[in-house]
Amino acid sequence: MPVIPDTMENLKKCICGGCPTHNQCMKDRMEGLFCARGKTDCEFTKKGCICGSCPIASEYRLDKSYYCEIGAA
Amino acid sequence: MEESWQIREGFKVEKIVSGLSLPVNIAFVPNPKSEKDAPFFYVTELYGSVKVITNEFKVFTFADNLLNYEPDYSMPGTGESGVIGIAVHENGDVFVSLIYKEDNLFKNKVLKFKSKDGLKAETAETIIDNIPSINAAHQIQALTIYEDKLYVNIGDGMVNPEVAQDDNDLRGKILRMNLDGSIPDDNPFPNSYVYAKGFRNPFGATWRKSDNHLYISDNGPAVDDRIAKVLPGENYGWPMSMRTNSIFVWWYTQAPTAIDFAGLQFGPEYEDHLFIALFGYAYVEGRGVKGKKIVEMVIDEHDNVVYLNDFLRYVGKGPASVCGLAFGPDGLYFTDLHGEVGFKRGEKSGGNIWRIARIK
Repeated sequence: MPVIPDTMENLKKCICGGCPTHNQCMKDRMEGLFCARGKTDCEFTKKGCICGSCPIASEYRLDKSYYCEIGAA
Repeated sequence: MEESWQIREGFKVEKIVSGLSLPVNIAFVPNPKSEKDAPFFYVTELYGSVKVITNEFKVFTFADNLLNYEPDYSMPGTGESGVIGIAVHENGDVFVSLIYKEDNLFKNKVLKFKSKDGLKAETAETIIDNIPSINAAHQIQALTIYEDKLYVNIGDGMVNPEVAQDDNDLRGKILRMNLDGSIPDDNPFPNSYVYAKGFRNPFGATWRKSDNHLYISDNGPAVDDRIAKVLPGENYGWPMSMRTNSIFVWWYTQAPTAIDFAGLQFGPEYEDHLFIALFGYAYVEGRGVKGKKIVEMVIDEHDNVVYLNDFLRYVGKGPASVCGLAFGPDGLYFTDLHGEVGFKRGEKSGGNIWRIARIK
C-alpha cells in the first residue's frame, strides 16, 4: 500500500470537503486528506464516501473507502 | 470547428445553445411539430430547472424551482445531485427524475409534467416518490420510455451498497412502471417495480432498436465502470461485482454518463453504434486525464464489443466535459455541464449544448 505524501499539492487535489460524510466538526477542524493524515478525531455518521472519485485515489491506486474512519493508506 | 473540442475528421461540432446552468440530460420530442416555435428537445438543469428548446433553438423555461433545498457546488460530492433524468412521451408529457428533502432526509422521485404548448409546464404530478436517496452521486438517474412503460435508473444511494441486492428496496435497480406510476402486471416480479437489480450508479440509459433492449452505463467504485444490456429479472452483481452480466468494463474508471445509439444521422456506416459520454472527474479544468470525451462503441449481435474509439474530446482550458447526449434528427447533441466558465468565485455555470454533424 502506498504512503500518501501530506503535501500542499495533494491537499489541493483533496475532495474530502465535498463529501456528504464530511461534517461540520471536520470542517471546523479543517480536517481532510485522511488517506495521508489519518482518521478523523470527530464523531461522524457514514453518509456516503467519495474517496473512489478522488484524483489522489487514482494516482496512488487506492482501493478502499472511508479513509476518515480507517486512517492513512 | 470550435477550438474547445477535437472531433473526428469528417464531422463538425457547433454550439447551438448557451447560457444554461449546469445542463445535464437531453430528451428529444419523439414527433416534433414543424412550427418554428414548437418544442424540439428538453434539457434538465441540475439545480432545479427544465428548459425547452424550440425548432429554431429558442430557449424557454419549462419548469423551475424544482428543488426544495439549497444546492451547493461541491463537486465531487454533495453538489452532484439534483434534477437529472428526463424522458418525453409521444403525447408530450415530460417525465423528470430528481431528489427532494423531507424530514431532513434526501429522497428520490419522478414528476410527470403536462403542457398544452410544450413550452411551459402547467401541471406536475408525482408518480413515484419516497425512495431513499443521497445528496451526492448515486441518486435517481436516467429515465427512458419504451412501449408506454417508464424505465427508471436508480443508484444505490452510496451509504449501504447492499441495498442493490435487496428485492424490497428500490435503490440499485432499474424500475419499470406504467406512465401513471402504477406497477405493470407483466413485470418480472409480481407486484414489484423491479425490472433488474445489482446496479451502483447507472447514470445513462437508452433503447437499442436492433434488439429492442435497454442498455445502461453504470459507474463503478475505484475501478470498473461498465456498459450493460438490461434483461428483465436479471442481477447485475453490485456490490459483489461490477462485472456481472456486463458487456464492457473500463478498469480505469472514466465516469460514463449518457449513452445513445445512432440512427442514420451519421450515415449507414454508423447506424446502431453506441455513443457514450465519458465525463471524467466531476470538476477538472483543462483536458484532464479521465473522460471529457465521447467514444464510439460497436456491439455485435452476440453482445461482444468489437470496436471502441474516441470520437470527440475536450481540448479547452475550462471545466467543460460531456454529460448528456442524445441523437436528434440531424446529429448528436450533447451538454457540457459546467461550460467554459464553471462556478469559481461564485460565478454561475455557463453550460452549453453542442451539436455534432457529419460534413462529408
